[in-house]
Amino acid sequence: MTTIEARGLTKRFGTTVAVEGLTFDIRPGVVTGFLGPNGAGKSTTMRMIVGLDHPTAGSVLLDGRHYRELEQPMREVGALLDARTAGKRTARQHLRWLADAGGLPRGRVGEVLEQVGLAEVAGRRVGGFSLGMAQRLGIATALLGDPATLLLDEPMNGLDPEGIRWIRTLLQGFAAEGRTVVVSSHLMHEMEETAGHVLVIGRGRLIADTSIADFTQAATGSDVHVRSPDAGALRDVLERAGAAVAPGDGGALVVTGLLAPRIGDLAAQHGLRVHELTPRRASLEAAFMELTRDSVDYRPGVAA
Amino acid sequence: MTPFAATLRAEWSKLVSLRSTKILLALTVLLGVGLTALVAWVAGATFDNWDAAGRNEFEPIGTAMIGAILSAILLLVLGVKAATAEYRSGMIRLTLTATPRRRRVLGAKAAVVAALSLVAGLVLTIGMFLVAQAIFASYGMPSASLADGDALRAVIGNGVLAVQFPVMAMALGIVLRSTSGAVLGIFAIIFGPPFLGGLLPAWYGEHVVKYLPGAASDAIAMGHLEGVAEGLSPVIAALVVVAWLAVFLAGAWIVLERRDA
Repeated sequence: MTTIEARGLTKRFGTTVAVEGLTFDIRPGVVTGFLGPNGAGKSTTMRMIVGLDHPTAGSVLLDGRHYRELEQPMREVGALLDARTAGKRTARQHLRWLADAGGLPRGRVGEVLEQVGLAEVAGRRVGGFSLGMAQRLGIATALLGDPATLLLDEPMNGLDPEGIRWIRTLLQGFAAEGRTVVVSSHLMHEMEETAGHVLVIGRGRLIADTSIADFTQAATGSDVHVRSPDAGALRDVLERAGAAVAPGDGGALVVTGLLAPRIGDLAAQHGLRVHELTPRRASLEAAFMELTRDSVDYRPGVAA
Repeated sequence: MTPFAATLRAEWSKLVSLRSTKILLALTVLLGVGLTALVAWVAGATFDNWDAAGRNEFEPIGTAMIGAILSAILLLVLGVKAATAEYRSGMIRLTLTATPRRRRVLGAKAAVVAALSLVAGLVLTIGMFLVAQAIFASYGMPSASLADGDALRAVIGNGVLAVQFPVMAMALGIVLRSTSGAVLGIFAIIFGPPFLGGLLPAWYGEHVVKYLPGAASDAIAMGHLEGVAEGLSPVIAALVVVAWLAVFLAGAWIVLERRDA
């Protein structure tokens, strides 16, 4: 039952601002998606949560305590920060020293290897692991202490669809047990079915802190795409009926405020021809892109 | 298990599972004893041709320790790698997440490096001594026995003091994070100041050089032997050695605490 509280959390590297004035609470019992484009400051924030990086200003606490003050950190927070693990140790050796470091029983090593599906490759060197296997090993390290809080940076990177489904189930199960679960991603669709709450950051600043339901509702303003040879007359009719009409591509009308069946009915009543009538629902992905568009550092096709 | 014991256990299993650790430890003993054996054999084979003064000055205990020069370099690398291997692989972030009290990590690393160097150092000095004396005796040269107090002091002293440079090297590895940088750095610290002694005024040679880490440990382990330059008294020298270790570990601690991992 851990709440992660960030207050004015700021990190600058020289003159570069990585994270600026982040204030949020991450609560237990729900999977919190930590979203933002690459370079938005997600990893920096997560590194500050576990005390690897020192904030330039502000603080981030776990139930009022700094991570570095925790007596048994691995039992409280399981973190996956960088799955790429070079090394000549086997998966089992790798988890063993971590279990030792955390003061955890070595029996946990076999359990988590089983849990993440790496039991059969436990004796192989981690340096030769594929990205997907390295991700699973990273998740195993996070699970080792059976922690109250899970903090995973881009855990779905490199996983196949089956792996993504597996981790979704795992995370939701953890949250359902009342644990605190934070998962970062730069891809909205990874979060759509995983997270119950989202924090969106761009260029180091907090853009949104909302439930996924509210985010979806706010983000998916739907409109209707209409093509008609009688566009001018149809536009008058729709506007009189209360719709907002904007010009779309190639003379099409983009109608908001009326649903497609009503638009079709109105056209029929006035004897106007309709060649296309397409309800469009903006995807979460599009909404996310829209939300963070101004905060992406580098965009293709834009001269710096 | 106390928290420090847990960290110690983790650092131990990390360091001994590195292949370079096993290779360096084996080479430390083999090359050290090998170099001593070679020098002893050459001395023995040519001893009859030495002039009288040379034969009189021959000192079997100090000569037996010659191989430690090579071994010291190998143990330095072991100390450096105990710190830098983790920076290279990025594993330091896992280490410091598992054990966020960084002083504890540094202390455990120092203890593990010290323990391995101590064992390697003692095996090395005893090995060098026994091999050299056997060769000297077979050529009818003066030789010494471990029952001899002077010999025991040199063997135990050099063995125990083998801990000094690897621990300093580990601390420098934490600060510099690069294997080559830290190896070069510790070489500069060990060999630079004595070398500079030849270029600086005599005052430097007289009053500064004896406080350098290498000269201080030599004063403890070798100061009683004939033909060795007089240095600090063993007690003062021991304090100087401890002070050097403390300075290096304190520096590493300050950097490790303040730096982003």
